[in-house]
Amino acid sequence: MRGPLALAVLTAVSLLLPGCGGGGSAGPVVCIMSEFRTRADGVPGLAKTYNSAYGTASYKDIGSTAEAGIASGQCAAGEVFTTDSAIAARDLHVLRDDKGLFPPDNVGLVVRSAVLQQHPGIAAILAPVAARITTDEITRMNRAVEVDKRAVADVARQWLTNNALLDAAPSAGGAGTARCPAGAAPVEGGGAQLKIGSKAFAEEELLAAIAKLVLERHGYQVDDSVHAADPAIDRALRDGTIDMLWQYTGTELQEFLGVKHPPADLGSAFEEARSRDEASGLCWTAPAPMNDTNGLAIRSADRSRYGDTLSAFGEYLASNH
Amino acid sequence: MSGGRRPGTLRLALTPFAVGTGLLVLYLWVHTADVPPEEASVLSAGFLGTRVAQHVELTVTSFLIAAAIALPLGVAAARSGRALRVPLLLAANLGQAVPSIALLALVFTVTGFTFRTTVIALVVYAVLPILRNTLAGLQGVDPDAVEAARGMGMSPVQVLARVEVPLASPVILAGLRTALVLVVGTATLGNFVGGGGLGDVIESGLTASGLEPASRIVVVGAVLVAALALTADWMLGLVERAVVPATWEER
Repeated sequence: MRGPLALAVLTAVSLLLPGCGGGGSAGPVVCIMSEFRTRADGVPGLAKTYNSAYGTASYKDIGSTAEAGIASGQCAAGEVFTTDSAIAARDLHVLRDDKGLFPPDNVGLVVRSAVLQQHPGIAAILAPVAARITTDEITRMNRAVEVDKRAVADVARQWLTNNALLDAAPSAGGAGTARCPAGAAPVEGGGAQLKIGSKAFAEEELLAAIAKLVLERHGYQVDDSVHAADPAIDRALRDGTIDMLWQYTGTELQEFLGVKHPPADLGSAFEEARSRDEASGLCWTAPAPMNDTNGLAIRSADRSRYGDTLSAFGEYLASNH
Repeated sequence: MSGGRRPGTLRLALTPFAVGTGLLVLYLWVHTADVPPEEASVLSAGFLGTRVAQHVELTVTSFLIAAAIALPLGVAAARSGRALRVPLLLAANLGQAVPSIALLALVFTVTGFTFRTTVIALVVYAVLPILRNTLAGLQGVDPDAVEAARGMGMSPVQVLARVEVPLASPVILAGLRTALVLVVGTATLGNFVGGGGLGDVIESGLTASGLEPASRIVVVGAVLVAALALTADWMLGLVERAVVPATWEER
């Protein structure tokens, strides 16, 4: 009879255990992806720049961005990307980064320099288009694809048409460099074949579709069938599998170029990535002002409780710990 | 069935020593290293402590629920004909055949980012080894012993509790140990659905920014999981030693 007895004892002991774990700890729960914990502009940055309470808050690790968890109330706040359509769709509010912690993550078209030297028109054709892709515009397009389930190519074409960008005049072109020419001629592609890659999510596919449509208007043939995640897609660009890719300045600087603290404004971040990558045969062209950076979001309805900004939420965390 | 024997004295004596030494080496290795501040927050006693506690909580809760479900089902399956046994084993097999991460994702769609999500998935995962071993253990009991017990006038419940279960206990406990160790390892997947636990530590290291993963964090997470698994196995080994009739070994 010792078997059932021992099991009963085990059960009794373990029933006392729940409660000592971190399952339900006090204070608001902030949902993050694990990478946010160690990144210089993640939890350590929040604690340093805003409020030490961010360092001791209770974090719940999840495998994706937190929109669903915030909306359902399982997370008081959570990590999101600022152009994600789910933010608007679920009525969330991104806490304002009032002390400028999160580095900008705007995009540029990165073209292999061998390709750009042969077709310098690419930069001139796409620069005026990219200049119009703002955070609001891309968020709306993301929403059309992710929430309204419309085809990527349709959304891209409609946006170009609505903004009269399909037939926009190429920019005059800046000075450029020998490796990465920015001169306008020759603009027309004359049937030249190009491969544009994209990371496997809506925003990247939209950007690739926009580039494809505009370049095709100028006589290029563009293949946009290669989709892969970082770092595989970055490798594909370097080894010539693809000719160009819309890349994020923050991702490039932090993850591939080892810059821990990228410049805080869009222009300098782009310039930094451009100058560092030029030596390795990659040319940053066509900067877009859209900023798809990290943020902490809350439910819009919770703004009265948590405040509007990262500073205010930090104070809330400090007083409700 | 593996482990259908009382665990050796030497192994039971050496396990705490080995785990202790491993943890000490780990501590010294981390302590003497030059840890960058971003890593230090993960390697702090506070963070690691809560994750170990969560991991234990996840493991113990899931294991007990799985045992509470699978032990009676195992007995029922042993007593019943094929009509019940076959579908039962099929269901349990299915629970383990589905990849654990898919199972977690499936449960997640219903229960969201909660402690429960991970527990439910772990329970489904742990039921099979307990159920199968309970069934196999009971089926392996010498019919003569059961016959003799009946002849002594024992009721069916008495036969089960005093003859069949004790005789089957090595195999049943081997199933429990398999399930427990399985749960300790699989609980790391709780990271993806807000379950907490040591998966948070490992994933923090794997996804740390920079050019290469912060291997120090990954090693710490992995060693702690291994230490927990060994400790859990050791504890059940002690239970096994106390419970399994000593005479069994001499047979």
